Amino acid sequence: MRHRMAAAALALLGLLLSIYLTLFKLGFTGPLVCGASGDCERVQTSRWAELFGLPVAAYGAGGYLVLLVIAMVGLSAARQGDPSPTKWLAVVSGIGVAFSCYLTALELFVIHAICRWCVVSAVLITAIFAASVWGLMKRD
Amino acid sequence: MAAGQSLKPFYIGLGVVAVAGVALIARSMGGSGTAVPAAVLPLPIAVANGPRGVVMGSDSAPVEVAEYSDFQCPYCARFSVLQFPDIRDRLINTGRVRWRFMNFPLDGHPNTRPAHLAAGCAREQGKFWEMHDAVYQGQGDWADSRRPERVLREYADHIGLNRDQFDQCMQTQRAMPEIEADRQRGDSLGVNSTPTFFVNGRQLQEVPTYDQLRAIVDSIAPVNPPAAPRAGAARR
Repeated sequence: MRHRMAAAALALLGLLLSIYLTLFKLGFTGPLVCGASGDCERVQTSRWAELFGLPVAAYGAGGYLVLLVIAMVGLSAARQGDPSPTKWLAVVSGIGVAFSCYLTALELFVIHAICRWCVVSAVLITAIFAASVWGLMKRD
Repeated sequence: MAAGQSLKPFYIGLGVVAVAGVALIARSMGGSGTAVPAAVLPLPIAVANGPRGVVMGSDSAPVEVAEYSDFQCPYCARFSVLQFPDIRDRLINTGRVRWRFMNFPLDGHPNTRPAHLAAGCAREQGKFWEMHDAVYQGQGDWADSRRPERVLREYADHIGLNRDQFDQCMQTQRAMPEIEADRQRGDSLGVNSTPTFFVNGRQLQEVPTYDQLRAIVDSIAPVNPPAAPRAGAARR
């Protein structure tokens, strides 16, 4: 169950981070606490920080929330022997990893600025994916 | 791992992280936000609107933004590439903002005058904004070039200008008086850096993001009742 605990903790951090970035994008917070380079603002205020009218970070928040719920359900006594929560963790976080790759490529090659918080999010989602795959392989 | 009791410390830790995270986020919301810079409110009588420059948007738009910009200035390019597309789509094309581009070539930029000339020559053929976009997006290609005209000529071809007319315009520099007039207008207003923005005549103290500008526009002309959408911006 350790991989589900790890996934839950990482998903919670990702959720908090995504909520913070979403609130910044919607204008509810002050300047991003993200170093002095201005790159975070540059990324977060670029046109690619929105998708179908919603901040990209809001999709991240939704994804992390789903992951958190799956991990918590998987930790419940009734589901601890059931491998399906781990499979779902791998599927959802796998989609997240692919989306993070796309966003990171945009930062590197189109916007030419790296948002540190986006990198943190990419690391978190990759770690959740790795934990899920590890859980599937080890039947932890 | 046994369920229930052994997971209790984990759940407590998770709860502590959640509470701490929410508290940090709530604290960040206590700041001034990206909303309206205090420097632009309340709005005074317009002082900067002039008859020159290149205008995009509706004559009846309630807000006019004048942008004093230098084509070789990297901050201007950054604004143009990252913020202006959203501004054009959501504020200008919806009839809420009229945009006035004012040429402000800085003396320290050796290649900026050919670029402003190219935009002026494109304007003759009704394609100022296409050249504006091309020049900013390709700034890295011509800004340090020994022969910027060559790159600018490629842009002219790319956006479909009549090449002979463009070349003749560039050689005679006949767009230069308009550019100089904009520059002098800026000088008279005390513009000393680019990009500099005036919203209904009031100078902004910083380069706005789309969100900040939208907040300013909302504060001047709220979207209640909704502004009648326009099919497209008038391009002049």
